[in-house]
Amino acid sequence: MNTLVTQPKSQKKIDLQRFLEPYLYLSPALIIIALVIITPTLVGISYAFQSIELLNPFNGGWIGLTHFKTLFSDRYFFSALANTLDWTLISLFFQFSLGLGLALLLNRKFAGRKLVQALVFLPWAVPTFLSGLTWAWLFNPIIGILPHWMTSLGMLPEPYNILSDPHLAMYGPIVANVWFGIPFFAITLLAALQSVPSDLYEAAGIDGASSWQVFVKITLPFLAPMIAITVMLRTIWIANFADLIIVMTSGGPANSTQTLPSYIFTTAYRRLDFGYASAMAVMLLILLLLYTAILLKMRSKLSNGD
Amino acid sequence: MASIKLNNICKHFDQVEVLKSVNIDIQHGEFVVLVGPSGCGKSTLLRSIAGLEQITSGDIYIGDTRVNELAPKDRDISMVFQSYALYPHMSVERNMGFSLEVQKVPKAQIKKAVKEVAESLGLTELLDRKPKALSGGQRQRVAMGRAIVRDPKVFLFDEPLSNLDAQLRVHMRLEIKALHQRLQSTIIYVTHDQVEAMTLADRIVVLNGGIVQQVGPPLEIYDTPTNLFVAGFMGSPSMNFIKTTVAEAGGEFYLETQTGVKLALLHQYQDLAVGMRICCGIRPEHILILNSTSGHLQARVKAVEPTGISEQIYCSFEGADLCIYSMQRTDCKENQSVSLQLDLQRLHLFCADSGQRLQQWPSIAENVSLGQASASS
Repeated sequence: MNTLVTQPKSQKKIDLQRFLEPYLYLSPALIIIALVIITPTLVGISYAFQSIELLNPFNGGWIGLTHFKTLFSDRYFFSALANTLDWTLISLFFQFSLGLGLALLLNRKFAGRKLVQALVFLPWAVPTFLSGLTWAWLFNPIIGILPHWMTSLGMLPEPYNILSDPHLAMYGPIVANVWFGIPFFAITLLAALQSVPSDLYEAAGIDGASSWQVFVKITLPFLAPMIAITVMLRTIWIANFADLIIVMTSGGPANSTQTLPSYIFTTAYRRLDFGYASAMAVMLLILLLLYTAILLKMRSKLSNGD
Repeated sequence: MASIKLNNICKHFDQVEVLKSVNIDIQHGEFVVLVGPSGCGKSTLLRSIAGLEQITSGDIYIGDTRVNELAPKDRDISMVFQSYALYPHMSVERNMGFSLEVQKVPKAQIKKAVKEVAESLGLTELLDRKPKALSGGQRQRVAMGRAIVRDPKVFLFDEPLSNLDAQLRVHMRLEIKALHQRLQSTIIYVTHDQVEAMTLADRIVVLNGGIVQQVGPPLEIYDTPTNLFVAGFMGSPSMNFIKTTVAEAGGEFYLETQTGVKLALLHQYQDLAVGMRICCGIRPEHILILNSTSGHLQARVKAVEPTGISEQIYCSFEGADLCIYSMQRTDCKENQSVSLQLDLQRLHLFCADSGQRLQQWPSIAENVSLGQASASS
């Protein structure tokens, strides 16, 4: 009889235990994530609503939306936004199309294929600062070869440094970025290409499809999910990627290569205005979240249509 | 529809010879099954006909055209793959109409062609589905439908039923047979399953080690296998072999096993000589288990496998296994001694050294009737 009375209580205890147990196991990971990711993010966001200028240390405190108001009347912010768009879209387009082409080439059988595949990965392994410096030198007419080639090809009237031309400067970092980003697309798309069953190509061959039809009707649909995810990841990375610009042009000349991340970097570490930089970073975060949401929605729509 | 002629087909993969001088003539409208163990070259031969593999030497004719240098799409063939190779991102309808779609045939015409074939295969309900929403048998049927829509001269099947369960395999086997009867098309079919080969083929080609072992109608191959390999490969359970030597008594040849058991020969054979080592083959259904001890051989039962419809009894005789296929239920127990009666009319004699079948002379009765016929004429 005694056990019958105590049973409901112990059952409740067991339920509670069962409920808590998974969280107990997860807690180390959760604690680390909270410490190194969530807390800094929240602190960073909170800066956007404070005045934190290292050159003006006694002028601190909460200032609400003031930074955001400044931001909307800051023409450099909008030009940086437009530059970010150019920088991201042009880099992405060439990285993707050249990467896909390279992947298709590497998917053929030829002698020394393994070696070439390894070499293709090399730009990815070079530190960004090093590649940025190298490309900056390549564009320098005194020590670099590129301006002379471009002049010979009729692209430039005379060999000068395009990094100092406000109209052309953006293409310097973009070229470096394309060179740097091709391997990522080549390697991921190559992996996806190799997962296409060879039977399908044979069946399509017997069905009479030309190589172009095979590419459009068999290969591309197979790659589509991989393309969607890599393009999304790369867009975010490129949009956030300031290293090459900082190294090659520092946003100049006359802010013509200033993208949002480089503008944020300059604001925070040159003008030492952490509050305003954080406000811009929050804007960038919101824009990228919006972009991701749209792309994910499109992707789920695509795969539901399957 | 067309005939196919294979002349001296050889194929090397680097140093390995996969096909060694294969010669086969296939008639217009014939159903030919290529059968053999894994790695015998049967799939390579089929893929060579399809143009998916380049042959090292020889000629392939489809109809009157030499197709050696033609791309697969120009050979006017259809192929059904073992994996079905359906395009996963396309509906059944687009899968079936793909060959017409890439030829830029008008949409209405494609729809009509696909609809007709789908009706004949019972696929009408499934036209909007993607392959992943189909069962194995349905996928198989779609793959066949895709091949039919093209209306090719020749159908090639590469082990199409090997991914299906046993019951479905029997069902699809019948469907393929019905399909052949309806379309009257030339079909080359690759399988390692000799039951499929026996039931489907007009003619069977038995391949081993890249060499054609025997070509002929199914029952001819079953009844008169030309060598030890064909004898052992065709038939399930497979043929028993007893090691014997030829001996002679009173002008009559007989076979003597290792322990001195004597087996009389009821037929005359070519090239028989005393002392010759003979591998004596007997099919499991041609051995009887006797209650008395008056049979030809005394053996010990090793295992009994009842399948309901029949029983397979494995005995050990002179260190080798003998399988007996009995439609009657026996009461055999393991380790029991049994007496076995062989149907001596149905012995297959193979030369133990060359593995070749010893041909029978026409029987005496036939000789007599032949003699009478010639005398009367």
